[in-house]
Amino acid sequence: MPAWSWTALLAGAVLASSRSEQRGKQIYLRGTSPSGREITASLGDSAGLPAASLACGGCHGLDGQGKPEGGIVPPNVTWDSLTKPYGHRHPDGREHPAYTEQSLRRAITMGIDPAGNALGVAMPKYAMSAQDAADLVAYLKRIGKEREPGLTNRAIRIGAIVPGEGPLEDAGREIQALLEAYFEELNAQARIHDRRVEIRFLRDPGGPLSPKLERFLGGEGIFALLDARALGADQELARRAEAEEVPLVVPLATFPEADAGASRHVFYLLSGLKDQGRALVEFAVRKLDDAKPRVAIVHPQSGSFSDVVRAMEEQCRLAGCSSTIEVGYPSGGFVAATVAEALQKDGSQVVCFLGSGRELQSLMAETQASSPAPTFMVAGALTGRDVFDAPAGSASRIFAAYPMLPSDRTSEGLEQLQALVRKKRLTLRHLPLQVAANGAARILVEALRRSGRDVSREKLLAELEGLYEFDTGLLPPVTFGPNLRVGAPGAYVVAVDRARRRFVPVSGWIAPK
Amino acid sequence: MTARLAGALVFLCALRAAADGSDAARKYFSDVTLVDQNGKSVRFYSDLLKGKVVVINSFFGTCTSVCPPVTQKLVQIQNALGDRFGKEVFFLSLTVDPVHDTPARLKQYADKYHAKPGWSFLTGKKEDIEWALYRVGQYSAEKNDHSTVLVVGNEPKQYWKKLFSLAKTEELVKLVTAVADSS
Repeated sequence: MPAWSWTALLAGAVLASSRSEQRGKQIYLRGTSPSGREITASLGDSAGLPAASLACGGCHGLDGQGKPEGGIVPPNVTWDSLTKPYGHRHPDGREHPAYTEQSLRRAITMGIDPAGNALGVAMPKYAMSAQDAADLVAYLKRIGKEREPGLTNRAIRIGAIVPGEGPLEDAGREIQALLEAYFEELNAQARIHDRRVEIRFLRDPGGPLSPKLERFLGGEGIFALLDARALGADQELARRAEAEEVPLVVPLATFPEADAGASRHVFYLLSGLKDQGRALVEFAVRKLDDAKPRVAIVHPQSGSFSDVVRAMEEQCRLAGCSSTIEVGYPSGGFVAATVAEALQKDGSQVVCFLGSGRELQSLMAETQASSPAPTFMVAGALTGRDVFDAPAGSASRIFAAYPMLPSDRTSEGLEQLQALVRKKRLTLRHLPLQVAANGAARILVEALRRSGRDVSREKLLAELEGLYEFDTGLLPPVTFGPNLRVGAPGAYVVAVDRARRRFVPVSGWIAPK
Repeated sequence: MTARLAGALVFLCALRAAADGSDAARKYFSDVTLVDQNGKSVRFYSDLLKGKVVVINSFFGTCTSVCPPVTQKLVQIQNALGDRFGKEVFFLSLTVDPVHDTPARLKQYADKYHAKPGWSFLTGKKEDIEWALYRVGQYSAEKNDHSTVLVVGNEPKQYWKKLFSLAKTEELVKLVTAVADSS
């Protein structure tokens, strides 16, 4: 047989066994069979329950070493430990010789050790197919020896998602150049516990990201993700990161999910519309002349906005608005006259507007004649620079919320950025996006450093979660916690200087409770 | 270990104190405010313990190892008690991780295990829930060290027992019933 076919055969064998290990890993970690067949767990004398709530890894740990809890000490189930030639003597006095593949399958399915003793009281008996048992044993031979994706002794691989084709293509290129330069510099200087950072890019051309993301994550293996898009971490990406258990850092997002219960792996640095909306209401009530204004919340009727509207209504109640009305309009079907009529009828003094800049312009033109004309509170991310084209004389009645401002940048933070720009001849035509991406990279590097040489995704999550008032020098200080996934849940409010076409900060940091 | 022993002693002494009547019992257990899985504020002694037969355990919602089997055991006891559950016998599951375990998450946890009315999953301010845990001998400084013991009590009869939660279900049911029927 020619040499190449032996190689092919060997490769085939390795592949086959690794598939079995992969299947076994799912059984070990999730308690479910890749075949779709049910696996049940029964505890002592009880009836079988789906094994998903009693998966092996829950007690024996990701590394198979066992996680003692509540006085129960689950044994080490790595293959080296199970097959010690001199056998085992457990703390409760139970003794047995070394396990074999066969006796291990019997232990898992029948609950008896190689000497015929019953296993510990907290160990369930699992009913699974012969194939599943074989796969699980294959994985137990491997557990503790595998590396996390994207991690080697010498390098750690980070994936960054940047804007692709379309209006932000140029921004995407500049963000990529800045991140490349940042990590190149890091690798040339300190590294992270003697590991280089390898950065890989996924350009998002818009449309469904999933197929591309799957290839991206599956290809070389990615340890952690950074989403540097202007409106990052849509639900699709957040769900994917959660399913693949990849830590994901997102500087800018419109609808971040603050509850760690829903997405434990996703860390949003800056506030989305919900917190910005609360800050706007807080500002309108506490800083404007009308102590208890009549407030209207005008918004497109789309599911994603409903949480934002709820949050703003709640804030109105807490801050003491005298009344709040909600004016929804069909997405893309904004009719300024209709909305203006509703505002007029209510006598709204403050209008929190969640539409686009163009829609704002037409509404302002329509309400200009009202007396007194309402004040408009908007989110800068939605209205952009269109506010500068507001009807003359009305720009003074617009206030916009931003999750970060240039004043967040410290001289040290800026200096580091500028040194990088000079050294690598970068351009900063998309400064806010670049600053946000660089800030996110700094946070990821800090958390990786704190995770130590023996880093794992779990450790990285714990370190991100532990960041308290961490100042990147570029963004507002960031604090995460076990139940806190938006790092800077507040906003600044700015006024509009129409003549000079620039924003003027009129509030400090507003972070309503 | 010494701390645990001391905790157990305090618990036993206190149970004797409780024997002096319900005023003493209220003083011992206290009426710290806890919050159940429905977001309702409850007083520890007056609303949850007074005049009831209770099975108390400590747990936390994100625990993947010993809590699921212990909760399964409680489900089996709940089902075996039939009509007596929720009328005479009540379960109190106290979280050792009040930061993560918000009422909404406890509700999800309760629903996942099909907990019936009469089973309260309790959280609250850290100092309050810890005080309640301490008073029933279930306090641990580190959440992973939480107890796997069930504290079973007949409050009006001032009769209390500790059971190992992973014992055979039929034994546990027999003992819980015995505490409920004690005179």
